[in-house]
Amino acid sequence: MPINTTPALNTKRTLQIEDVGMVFPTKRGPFVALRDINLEVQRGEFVTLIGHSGCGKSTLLNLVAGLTTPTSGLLLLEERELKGPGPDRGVVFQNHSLLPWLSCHDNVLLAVERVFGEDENNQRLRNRTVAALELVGMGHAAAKRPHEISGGMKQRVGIARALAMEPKMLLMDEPFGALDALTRARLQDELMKIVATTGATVMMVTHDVDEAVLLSDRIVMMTNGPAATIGEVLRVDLPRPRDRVALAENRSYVQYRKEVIDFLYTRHSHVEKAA
Amino acid sequence: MRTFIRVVEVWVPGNDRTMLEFGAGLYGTASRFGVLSRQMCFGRGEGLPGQAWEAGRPVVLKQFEGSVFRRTQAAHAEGLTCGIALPIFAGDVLTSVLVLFCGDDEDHAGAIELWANDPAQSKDMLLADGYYGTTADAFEFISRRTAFRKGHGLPGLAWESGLPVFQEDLGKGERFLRADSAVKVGINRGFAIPCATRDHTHCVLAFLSAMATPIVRRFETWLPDARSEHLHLVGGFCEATGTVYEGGGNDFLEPGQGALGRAFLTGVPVLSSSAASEPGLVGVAAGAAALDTMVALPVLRDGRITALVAWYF
Amino acid sequence: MVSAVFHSPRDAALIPETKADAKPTRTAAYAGAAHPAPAKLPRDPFDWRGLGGRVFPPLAGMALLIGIWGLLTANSTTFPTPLATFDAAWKLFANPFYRNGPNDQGIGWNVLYSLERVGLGFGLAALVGIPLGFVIGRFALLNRMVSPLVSLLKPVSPLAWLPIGLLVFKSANPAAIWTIFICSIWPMVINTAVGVQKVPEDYLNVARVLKLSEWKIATRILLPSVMPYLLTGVRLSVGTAWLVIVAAEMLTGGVGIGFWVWDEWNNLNVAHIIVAIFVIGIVGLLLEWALLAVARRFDYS
Repeated sequence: MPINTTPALNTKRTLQIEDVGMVFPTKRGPFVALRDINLEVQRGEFVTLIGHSGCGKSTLLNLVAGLTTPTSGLLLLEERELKGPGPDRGVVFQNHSLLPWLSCHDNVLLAVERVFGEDENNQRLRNRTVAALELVGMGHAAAKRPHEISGGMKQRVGIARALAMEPKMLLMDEPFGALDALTRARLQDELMKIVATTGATVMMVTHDVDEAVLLSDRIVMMTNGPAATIGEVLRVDLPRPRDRVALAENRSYVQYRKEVIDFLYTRHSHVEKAA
Repeated sequence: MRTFIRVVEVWVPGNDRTMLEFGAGLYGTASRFGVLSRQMCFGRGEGLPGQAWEAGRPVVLKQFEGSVFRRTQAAHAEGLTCGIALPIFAGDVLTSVLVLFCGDDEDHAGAIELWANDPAQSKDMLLADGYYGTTADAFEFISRRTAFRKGHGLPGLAWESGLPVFQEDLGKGERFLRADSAVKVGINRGFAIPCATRDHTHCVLAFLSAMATPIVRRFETWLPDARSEHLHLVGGFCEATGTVYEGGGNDFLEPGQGALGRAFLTGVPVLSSSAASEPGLVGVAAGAAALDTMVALPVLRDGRITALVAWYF
Repeated sequence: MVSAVFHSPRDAALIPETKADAKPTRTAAYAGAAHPAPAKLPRDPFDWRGLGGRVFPPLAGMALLIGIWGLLTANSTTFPTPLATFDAAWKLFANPFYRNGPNDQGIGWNVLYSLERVGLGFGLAALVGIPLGFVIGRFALLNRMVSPLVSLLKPVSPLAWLPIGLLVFKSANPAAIWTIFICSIWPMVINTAVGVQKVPEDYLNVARVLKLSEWKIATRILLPSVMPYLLTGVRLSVGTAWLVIVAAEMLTGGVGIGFWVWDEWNNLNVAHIIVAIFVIGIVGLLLEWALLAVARRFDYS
């Protein structure tokens, strides 16, 4: 059974973030993490949030995931206000968060059961699980436990789990940050293929410039915290499918890269606070 | 030193407000162009000034041939390659149209960008039009795909503050080097002014230039005080002397005093070809830096003059 | 076709991915051989030295102890020699399961009775303590209500609870079980609560994204995650429980290994007491090992 993303309503705007701000109460007083965040994500778009550490990009992703509620502003998923987390936004965490006492198959099944369990019988649920694992190339390791597979494979299972729910949006928080460069490169290529196949709408957090330019349709560049906001949005017009080897010499790719680096390191260099 | 902006004209509505007539002009070395221009007048929609009037927002004209432009041959003869018309509104009423002509060639590089934000559509400020002349394509390529938010980037800063913004070093040097070595350095200076529009979108006109071709020789920002009784110098930049600092407490201009004072009073740009004889600070600085022509340009927002920009050539 | 788009699992083997724990990676053959057969290694010769290293020192220690014991008791009239003790042990274990009356039963029965009481007290403590631990770990308000109480009662010696048990239950057996219950429950509550609090945020985020019901969170996420902590609590409790039962039985009488020790003291049969010491120690050790084996089964790393 092929994996699709849920066919949306007749709307092209999957996500709207309107005037969102986030203030955290701390012992030392209120901490303004985000202010004046406005963004729209179209269906099928791949959007990257990039910025220095502490710029609130993970906070923003958590707001979209519904794991946090904004202190001001509104988030709309397909024109409906977000109220808390849910399987319509599949989240891939940086720490794969696979439950260690379940096999890969059962980890994905947990999600599948939750979303489709009421309407479908066990066989169909199993089919979905197997399809999701095959989509990420982990069909052969379905019975293995997380401690028996490598970091890259764990992350693939995490992606399978998120996609198996057929979410409206895929949210990824530095999903490849904990992996070595070669594994990261391979997973990026696979992610592009998966996204092309499923037509998923993706929002990803990263601090890797090359990853952002390679994968995104748009790069959202955030200023430094506190009170971080969106500074610049760059539309990446490179044709798909994108080949990293060919792109390395592509002039446009180099320009895009330079613009993002300019933003991060020339105009918004991260000032290390004294400990 | 040649500047990127080569010609400045002010066109004002005639008495019956159906035509734009020649108000004033600084032509530098393009004197024949000046002679031709003084004889012209434009109806709404006609020619470059008329176009800006009709559109209600700045117009950038990059291609003279086959356009509404009526002085193509003369412009080419003088090496003018791009024209920009800024309509200046007091509320809904057009007070004047400022027209600039720039010229760049192999040895001199610059770019002019018109950025616009439609608040009804989004919070992004996008490139509406741009003239990139002899600069490399890369700059235009990225600019066309970038959206700035309020307060970010050169246009974003002008948008947020509603005041002119100058950046001495854009840090974009490398990007604008051309394939051959004709252009010695890349784009390094940036200057942005917010422009009033009739339809309440936000517009910013950004001038970017290379070191060999500064946009202007000196520029200054003057602000009226709270009760609009005096004009104070708040800062600027001079190619000859570097950063221009705030004027002292006693260095101010009154409304009507000198080119800046008159621009403040009338809301119409004022041109002067003897800057050294201007009153107060202006004359002193101009004389010291051997600058003789100046433009006093009012920046309006919601019908009020929020700042005045002085350009010296 | 979806499957045509991706790397096949075979390609995944071409560049070996290193795993978290260091195990030798299989060097991949070229495309064509999916899983290269492991080369046959020569069999290692039997590791006599390793075995000797592990077995010899404990035996030597034991022998030393017995030697010293023998030396010290060689001329004693009250304290039995190792040989005499061994003799007594032999007789006892020849017939461990005889019954001559309620106060005279085989050592096997006594051990079993004690274990039964420990089992009951322990089981009750688990039944009450683990859910309580869950609840105070999960809900902060209850935690604040119950924690001070636990901290106050925890350091109290279980034997101090024995009189209360006798008062309430009016009989030795329930009182002993009560004492076991009260001494085993604290580690279970505390460890379970800590385990629940230490459940990684990520797992809870997974639960939130999936919008699992509270029950599902408890059973599919909290319980397996807490299991290692829980089992540590249980292991700690078992050691104390076994200790306490012997003392409690000495005080209350009736049946059990503790009672038997006291009875043999009344009979001035020191050799039997020494045998009892060894038996208690061995049973305690076996209990530890059993629980360790269970804990290892639930270790997911």
